[in-house]
Amino acid sequence: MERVMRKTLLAVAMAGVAFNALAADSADLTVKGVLVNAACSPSLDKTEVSFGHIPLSNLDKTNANQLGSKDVTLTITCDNAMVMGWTTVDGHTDSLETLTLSKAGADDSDVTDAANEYGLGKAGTVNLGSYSITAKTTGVTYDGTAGDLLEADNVGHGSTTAWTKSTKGVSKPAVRTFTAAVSGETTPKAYKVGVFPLKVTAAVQGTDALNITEDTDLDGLATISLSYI
Amino acid sequence: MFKKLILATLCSATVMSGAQAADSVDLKVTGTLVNGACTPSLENGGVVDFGHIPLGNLSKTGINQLGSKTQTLTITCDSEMPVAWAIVDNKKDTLANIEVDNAWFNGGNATASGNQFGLGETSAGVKIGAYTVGIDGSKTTVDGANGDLIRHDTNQEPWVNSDSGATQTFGRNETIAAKGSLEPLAGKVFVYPLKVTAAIQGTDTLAVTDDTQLDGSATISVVYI
Repeated sequence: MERVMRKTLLAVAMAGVAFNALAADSADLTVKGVLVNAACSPSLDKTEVSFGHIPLSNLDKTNANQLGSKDVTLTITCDNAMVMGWTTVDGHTDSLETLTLSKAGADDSDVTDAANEYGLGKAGTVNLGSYSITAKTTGVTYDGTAGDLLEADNVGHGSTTAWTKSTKGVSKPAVRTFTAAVSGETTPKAYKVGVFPLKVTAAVQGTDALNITEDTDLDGLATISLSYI
Repeated sequence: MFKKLILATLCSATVMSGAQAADSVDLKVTGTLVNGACTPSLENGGVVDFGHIPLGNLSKTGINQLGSKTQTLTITCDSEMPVAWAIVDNKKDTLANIEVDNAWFNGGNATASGNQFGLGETSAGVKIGAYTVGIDGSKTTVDGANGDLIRHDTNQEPWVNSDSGATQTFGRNETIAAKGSLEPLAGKVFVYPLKVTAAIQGTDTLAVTDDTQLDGSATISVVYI
């Protein structure tokens, strides 16, 4: 009787071990960040990208009309070297008309996804079109040295993606962060001055859809912000 | 007639309870042994990262809001059962009880220390700030179906609807009920979208000269119900 009892206890103890190995009852949440003695600010070499006066009669009635690309340069300056990224937000997202933006990528690939496009304003209730903001993969420098463009999505969130070398440089408002790395590396590089050449590519709808009789301003507004990485 | 009836009921109730004055009261101990267990998991090993923050861009004297980072808690059970969870702050003694803006998914701010977690200390022992963990009750699911977030605080029954999705740093259990119900649902996969929102003190108060880590740590544990 006693022997049987002991055997039973042993079996229970072993079952307990198996249970522990199978399932953890808890998960740890870690909240990280680093306070750095530095001050940083972003600046653009021009505050406005203009596609000029576009004669409607020269535009296609039924297809998207490509307005081409314009260049602008983003410079991030810090008083002490630190890692710093940047991201974008669309201030006029309610006017986005998703169109194919030809050769909008840094590699001249097309941009077609609404998640990569920004609103270009409205004519009455009609959305005029869309534009993209692309970081060029050449011309990126940290403290004067040519580097690689890195991108990651949802930086700092649980769903963050790993830093990867960017090939298209296509921005994704409120989602994607860019920064610079030593050429060939995928870890963000600390810098005092980071230079990021951008290109802005726009398209408007066919003129039948626009149905415009008066001069109408293209009215895109994006905010480029520092992204703490 | 009606009045008399009520009177009669009251009398009998009073008399009965008074007369019985029993020496003992029964405590029932119940539970259900189920074959299975549940495991909580977070994305990215449970890490949220507010990145490298340039102190020169922050307010010297005001509270600095660092915004929110999202996380997702998934509790997976190997057989269907109702299960809740609770969160405990491992750094409670480092909490600086400052307002955390937009801490909850309904847009509410968090001011009470019971809703806030510690973010660590500077090398000089200054408490850096606070963070909160909010649950998006509109997107909680059990086995893929949307349900209502419900909670109860220790020794407070019954379950109540959690409109704000605010967690407490101790003693609050969270689970999911069918839409419009307050009865915990049984299931195998429970999903809770979370956001972690942080605020830190003014840089004059922090007085940091060297790189200083934000150092928050909390543990989420399953509670069998």
